[in-house]
Parts: sequence; structure tokens; C-alpha cells
Amino acid sequence: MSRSLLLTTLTMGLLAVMAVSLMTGRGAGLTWPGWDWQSQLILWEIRLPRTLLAAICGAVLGMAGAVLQGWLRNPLADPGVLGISSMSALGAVMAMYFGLFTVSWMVPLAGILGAIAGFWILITLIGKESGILLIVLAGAALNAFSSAMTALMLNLAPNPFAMQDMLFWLMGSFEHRSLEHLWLIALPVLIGMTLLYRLSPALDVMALGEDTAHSLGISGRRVLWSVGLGTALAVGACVSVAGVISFAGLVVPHLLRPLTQWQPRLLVLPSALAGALLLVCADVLVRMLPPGQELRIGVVTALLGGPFFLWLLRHVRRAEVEL
Amino acid sequence: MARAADVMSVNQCVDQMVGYLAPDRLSSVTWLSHEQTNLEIFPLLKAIPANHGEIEEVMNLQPAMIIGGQFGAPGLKSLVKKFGYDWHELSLPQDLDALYRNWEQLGAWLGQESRAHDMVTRLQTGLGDIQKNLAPLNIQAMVVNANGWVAGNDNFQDAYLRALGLSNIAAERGIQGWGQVSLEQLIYWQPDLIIVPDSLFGGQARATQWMDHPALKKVHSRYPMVKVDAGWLSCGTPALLRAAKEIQRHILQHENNPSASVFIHHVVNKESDHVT
Repeated sequence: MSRSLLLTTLTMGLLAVMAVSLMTGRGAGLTWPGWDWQSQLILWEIRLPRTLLAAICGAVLGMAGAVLQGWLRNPLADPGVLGISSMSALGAVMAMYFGLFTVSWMVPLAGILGAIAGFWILITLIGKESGILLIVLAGAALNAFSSAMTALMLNLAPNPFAMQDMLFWLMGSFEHRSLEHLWLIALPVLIGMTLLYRLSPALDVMALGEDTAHSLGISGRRVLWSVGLGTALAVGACVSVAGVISFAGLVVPHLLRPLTQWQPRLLVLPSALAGALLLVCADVLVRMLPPGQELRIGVVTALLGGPFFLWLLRHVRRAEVEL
Repeated sequence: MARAADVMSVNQCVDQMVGYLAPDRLSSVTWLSHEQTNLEIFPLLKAIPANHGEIEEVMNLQPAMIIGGQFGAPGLKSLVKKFGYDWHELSLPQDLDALYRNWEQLGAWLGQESRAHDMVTRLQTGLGDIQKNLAPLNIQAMVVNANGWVAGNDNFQDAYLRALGLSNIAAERGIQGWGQVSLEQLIYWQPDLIIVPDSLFGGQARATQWMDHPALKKVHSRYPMVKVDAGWLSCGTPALLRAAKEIQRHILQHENNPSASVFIHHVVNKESDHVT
């Protein structure tokens, strides 16, 4: 498939599911929005922010997954699997529930700082040259630790309703999000995604190994900073308003790799579009399920991504043995 | 002469009710009653040692009577009976008559029948007065709890709204027991008044924060949304009456001054009604 055809197909698909998302109401199913003030208010103030946030966070996760996989030369890398998302959630939870910060933009800032801490712990302790499984195991440990700390923080939070928020932070959701949340994360997401996108040409060279990349003029330190800061800004901001949505960044690049000639550079933009497509679809799905408490979107992505991850693990192991 | 403190409570509402009827008898209250609240009874309960509903604590205290609720502490209930302690249990009231029966029952167990009777009369009279004022206004109200849980038919909050002279829009829309509403439903239902039980202490929580969604601020309802301390609504004590008075004050204030620009009214006044 040619690159332009792939990008066009993904864009058209994304626009189509976004339109479906705007027409999907919780419990109301798929309906054409009326012109009465209530329908219009719901459309612009509830469904539009939700749809845009799902698309933006999906794009962030897809792009971060593609860049991390290319940079680490590790097919199992993804902000969720590596524990960056859950560290970010921990940062946001600490800020929000303990009144450390009273200004609204401090929560995304804390999420970004949490993500930076997660990335830093992962890279300084393990190193990016470690084996595929070691990095993933370190990510699993970081995930378990930060999720437990998030649960502990919510348990200790002074607000008696804080415990009810646990599922949101661990499994993510776009329910009850407003345009305010969109403006809150717009700048860090824009800067983060620009940093990540500008890395794409270097990813092909990085695939040949650090030394080769260095000899071809790629500064490992600069790339490290761009990946770290880009991922932390974009993922940290998204997690602070939508919670942890795992596996989206893992699955998407794998599905697209055969369509992008297995070139890491060509994978970045399509992964962002497909990530957005995936999360908007998942968000439509959770709203179409029977009434009752809304299913968290992370449940849908984990149901898709969990088995995929296991299959991938087996595949990677076999490839390692054959080598 | 006052009897020694020999009653152990393992339910937060029982803590408060015994606190009103026979505070000297309380030897232990639940740890929940030591958490900071805006309740008049809080300083009294805070001064009494707390328990976590463990059998070891019961054996240490050797109370003459243990009082719990219908739900909660199920493991303790069987153990307490096994060790031969005197276990009493108040049912979870689903309407005001059941609440009044609970007061009378508790009064009988504690030998404080007249105080219990006075309490029931006080609650009945207080709510009755408010009903007389609010019923002619024909207000469609609803209580939206954390995460959008609302009370439908056969639920104490529904009975409470009716006792205030308000009609419960959630029950009218067919919700039985507990149900959950979305923002979209709230906009379509357009209640005259939304009452939000909220925590007025401590930090934020998303569970209650969603009621601050900008879309709700653009809905022109008859009265602004009112936030009431969740602790005031959770047990059938004079705090319930205090909450009712605040809701009435809020309604009458905006009835007389409909152009008031305040959208969300926080009820933060300290409780001042004393009963015992």
C-alpha cells in the first residue's frame, strides 16, 4: 500500500468514526443530533470534547508507541507497558487529591513530571541497550509499583469520594471531559508530538544500532532527550485528563508495520492516525454498551492488547531463539 | 446516676444516633466518626475511642451491648454472637417511618425512650414545616450523588425529597432503587433543582467534580445547583434537618431573587441545632 493511500484511508476512517462518535449518546445509541438547544449543547459541550480528546490521546499513544519501539528496537515498547503512563497517573493523583496544587494546569504538569520520573528510572536503571525482555520486565515492575502507589494515595486522600476514582486512574476514561480539559493539554501535547515526529527520520538510522547511528551523525544524547521529553509531555498530559489507557501504543504500530515497508520512519504518522482511530472507536463502543456504569476505555484496549501482547511475546521469543 | 460507658457502636450512623440519645453510654465509636466532618456531633464522637469493628477490640472493651447496622461488619456479627456478646442491629431505613422506628428502637435499647420520642417529634415537625413551605412551589428536584448515582423509588433519598415537599424527577423517570445518570440525561431531564452531596473537606475527587462540567452551567434551571455536605445526608440525625433547612433557604432565596448570578451554592455554615 502506498504511503499516501495509507494516510488517506486512515484519515478518512478517523473522520468517519469521529462523526459516529458525535452522534453516539450514552444510553441513547446512535442518533442524528436535533436542532433543539439540549441536543446542540450536548453535541458541542459533551460529545465534541470527548471525541477530540479520544482522538488526541489515541494519536499520542500511537505515535509514542511507534517512536519508543523504533528507538529501543524493542517491539514490546509502549508508554503503558513501560510504566511511563502509570507513573504519570501517580503524579497527577498526588497533585489532585492532596491539594498540593490549586491551579488546574498543575495536574497536567504533575502528570508530565511523573512521566519524566518514570522514563528516567527506566533508562538510568536498565539502560536502553538492555535486552527486550529486561526492559519489559522493568516496565512491569514500575507499573506494579506506581499502580500500587496510586491506589495507596487514593486510599489516603482526604476526600471520601477519592476511592471511587481508582478505576478511572488505572483504566482510563473520556467520560465527563470538557473543552477545558482540551485546552489544558493542548500545548504540552503539541510540543511533545512535534518532538516525537521530528525524530522519525533518525529512527531508521537508529535501527542499525547506536554506534552506526553515531557514525552517521545522530547524537544519541539529543535523541534520548527528545524521546524522553516528547513522550513525557504528550503522554503525561493525556494521562492527567484521561487516566491510563494501556496497550493502544503497543498494538497500533504492529498492525501498521507491514503496510509501511517495515521502516520505523514511515510508521510514526500512520501510527498516530491509527491510534486516534482506535481510541475513538473504543470510546464509541463503551458508550454503546447497555446502560449502567460506563465501562472504562482501558478495559477495551486491554482486552484487545493483552492477548496481542502475549502472542507478540511468544513471537519475539521464537525469533530470539532462531537468532 | 449515669451508667458507665458500656455501649460499643460499629456503625457510623449508630455512633451519631447514640451520641444524641445517650452519649455517656458510648465506650467506642467507629473510626469513621473520627474523620473530620462538619457535623455538630463530631467533637463529642471524636473524644470517644475509635474501633475498626474487630473482634479483638470487642473482647478488650467487654461492652454490655454492641450495636451495628443491617449491612457492614458481617464477619463481626457472627463472631460477636459466637462469643456470647449482646448484639443489636438497626435496619437500613428506606423511608422516614423506618428511620423513626429506628430511633424508637434505639431509645428502647438504651433506656432513653423519651429522648428518642422527642427526636422523632423534632424531625417530623421540622420536615413538616419545610414541606408546608416548599410543596406549593411544585419543584422537580433530584439528588445527584458521586459518579452520577441517583435515588429512584424505594430509596431513602427519594423519601427525603418527598418529605421536603419536592418531587423526585429520577423516580418519575422510572428509576427504581439506585440508578446512574449521565450528563446528557441530566440536560434532557432539566430538573428544577439539583442537590449534590459533596465533601466540603479535603482535596478534590473526580467522582463529584463532574457536576462542575461547563455544559451544566449553560442549562437554565429554575434554581442553581446546591451542594450540601454529604455527611449531613448520610444518617437520619438532626443534620438531615439542617440540610433540609439549607435546601429550603436556597430555594426561597432564589425564588425571591431569580436573577441571582451565583450558579453553585455551597452550604458551608456550621451546624448549630442542638438537640440533647
